[in-house]
Amino acid sequence: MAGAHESPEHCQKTSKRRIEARTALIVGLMLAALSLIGWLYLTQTSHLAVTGYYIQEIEQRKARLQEENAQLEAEIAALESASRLMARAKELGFQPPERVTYVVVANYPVNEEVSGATDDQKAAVVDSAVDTSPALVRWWRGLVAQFDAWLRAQP
Amino acid sequence: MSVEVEEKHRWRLFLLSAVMIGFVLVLIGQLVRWQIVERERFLAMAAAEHQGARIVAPRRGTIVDRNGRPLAMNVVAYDVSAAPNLIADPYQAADRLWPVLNRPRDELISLLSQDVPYVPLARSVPMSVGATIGGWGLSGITVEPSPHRFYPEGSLAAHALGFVNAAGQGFYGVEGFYNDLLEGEEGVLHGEHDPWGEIIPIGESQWQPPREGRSLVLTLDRNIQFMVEQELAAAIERYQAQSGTVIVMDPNTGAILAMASYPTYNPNTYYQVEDERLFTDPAVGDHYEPGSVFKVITMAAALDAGIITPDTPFYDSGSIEVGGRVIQNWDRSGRGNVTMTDVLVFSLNTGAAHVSTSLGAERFYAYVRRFGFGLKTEVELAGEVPGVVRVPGDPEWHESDLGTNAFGQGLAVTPLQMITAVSAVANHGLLPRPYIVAQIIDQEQVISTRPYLQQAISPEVAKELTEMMVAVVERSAKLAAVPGYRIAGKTGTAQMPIPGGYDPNSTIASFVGFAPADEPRFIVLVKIVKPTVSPWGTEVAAPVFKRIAEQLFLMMNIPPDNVRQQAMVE
Repeated sequence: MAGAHESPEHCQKTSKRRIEARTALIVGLMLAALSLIGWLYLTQTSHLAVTGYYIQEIEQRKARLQEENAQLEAEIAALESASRLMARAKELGFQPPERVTYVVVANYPVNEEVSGATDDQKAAVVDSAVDTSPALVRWWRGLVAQFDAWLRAQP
Repeated sequence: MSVEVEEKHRWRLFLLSAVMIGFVLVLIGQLVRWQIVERERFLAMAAAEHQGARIVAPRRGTIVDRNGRPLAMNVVAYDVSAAPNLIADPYQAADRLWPVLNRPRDELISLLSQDVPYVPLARSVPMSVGATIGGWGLSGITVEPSPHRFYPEGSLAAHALGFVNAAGQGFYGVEGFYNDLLEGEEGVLHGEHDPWGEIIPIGESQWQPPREGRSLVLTLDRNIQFMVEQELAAAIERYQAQSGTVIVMDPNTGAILAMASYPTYNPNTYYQVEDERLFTDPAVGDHYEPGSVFKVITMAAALDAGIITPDTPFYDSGSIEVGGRVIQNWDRSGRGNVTMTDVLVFSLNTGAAHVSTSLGAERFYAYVRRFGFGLKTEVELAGEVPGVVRVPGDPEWHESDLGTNAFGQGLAVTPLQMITAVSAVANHGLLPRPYIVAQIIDQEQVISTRPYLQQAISPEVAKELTEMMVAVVERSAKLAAVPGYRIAGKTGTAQMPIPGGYDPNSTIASFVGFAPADEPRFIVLVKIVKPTVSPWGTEVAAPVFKRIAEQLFLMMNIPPDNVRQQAMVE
């Protein structure tokens, strides 16, 4: 009944307001969405820029460290140079040997050329001759071999 | 009336349309120009606004010896310069700078007081000095980092290494020979740049990385090189000589173990050298008349051709005529009936000339060529010369040359050619190609040099000649002998040519020898220029060889012959 009292102008106005409100809501939502997108874009761009400069800074630090590393390697090489080592050895009282005596050790494993062997076999001989074991193990093996040789030499 | 008005409006509309159409046509024309005709130019202009390129220099390859000891490496050094017109107080700036730059204070004040925009103060100062000066933040003083070649061993093997100049270009030695390989290729980073011109790391970019320079592993042994240089410098002083060269080589492969010349220089401070001739490596860049050492080649040729044996008799009257020229022995005396071994032992010019003339010019010079004389050895060192060998047919060749060439006169060889040729005698007649670069390392790839050998004489002849050279050391060049070892060698004393003849007061004393004679591990050439204490190779070069050989036996772990043979039997 109450509607019966509403005039057509009033209904028209109400309907227009509703449309305006909806439009405003849509526009507001769109603005909010655009703002959000803008904010996200700016945040991401700013983050990327900061990251970029951070990378640049790290690259510069890396280059600096590489320079320092090269400098240290050069200093080590200069400290290990033959002329410096010779001078240092003389300072410490070292001098060239006056006499050298060679001793022939029976059954000493000599890395001899294997006649008729292929290149790979020769390489294998060379490889097997290089003992990469720790010093203590090598010393112990040597001792055992010496003992073995002594035993075999016994009548 | 209304018809007139309508007509007027129509005319105006027509005019307006025409103007509009004209405007549109101009616009279209400009668009065609921008988008089609000059598209590339405008694209480039637009790109230049926000795109940039940064050249990335490659790292120069390093050089190490056969055991991996660094001989040439890269560091960052600093160049210090000043803009004097921006310096308010030159005295104050000089007070701070002179102790660290190691330059006189007054000199700096003078430089900093000039009315010029740029003055270099110091180049290639160490990183610590550059950092100190940079930290002060002096107005008008600039400190700029620059790549710098560093030779940690100083002057060691300077001639073999060469040097790199401030622009990064290698000169002389392996630095010069392999400059293209060592320097690498530049890289480029294309990308968007910021307002300060720096490439934005996260922007769109194209990265073409630099190709780093290849590194070299040399055949040189740092320790042998050092020992040889010490001995050479001592010999120059002992015999009051002008200069000298020593080469140590593995005769079995041609690998150069040491190559030293004196006087020398420090490649770290190459710019302080006043006489540029000092940069030339005398081992490959200077030739000389070898003298009697060349008799080894004459004998090798005659033995290989089958016209003599070590015991072939020869009557030495003290002189012989070849091509109208009388050739005499070094002591102007004759030794009567001798053998070919005696010719070598007593270094008889007459005997050598007799052999070369018996051989004939064609065969003699064919053997000379076969041993590599008159040709570059192709060793990987800049500035190598081929030497001078005149052959029949050359306008300057004379018949008497056949006689004088037989004992090393009238031809010129480099020390490297000479030692390489004698290496063939030590190496079963196989002539090696000398080399100084054992490996070229290109990132993960390693290219190794394979020894190249060429048969110059038969193995039997090489063995016979070795015995003749052993007799030389045992019977005449006794100052080269090392007790316990059989050494094969030959001395040489060559007069130095001057315009119109030979200098009567100057000689080049030399010795070439290898050991152990039955199983050579090394060959050494000693060349001493203008010794004043004694002119003779026997008295000057042979003792130097002995000192070097004694140390090589230790360094290369070569026991005396009897110990070695005993070990082989057991």
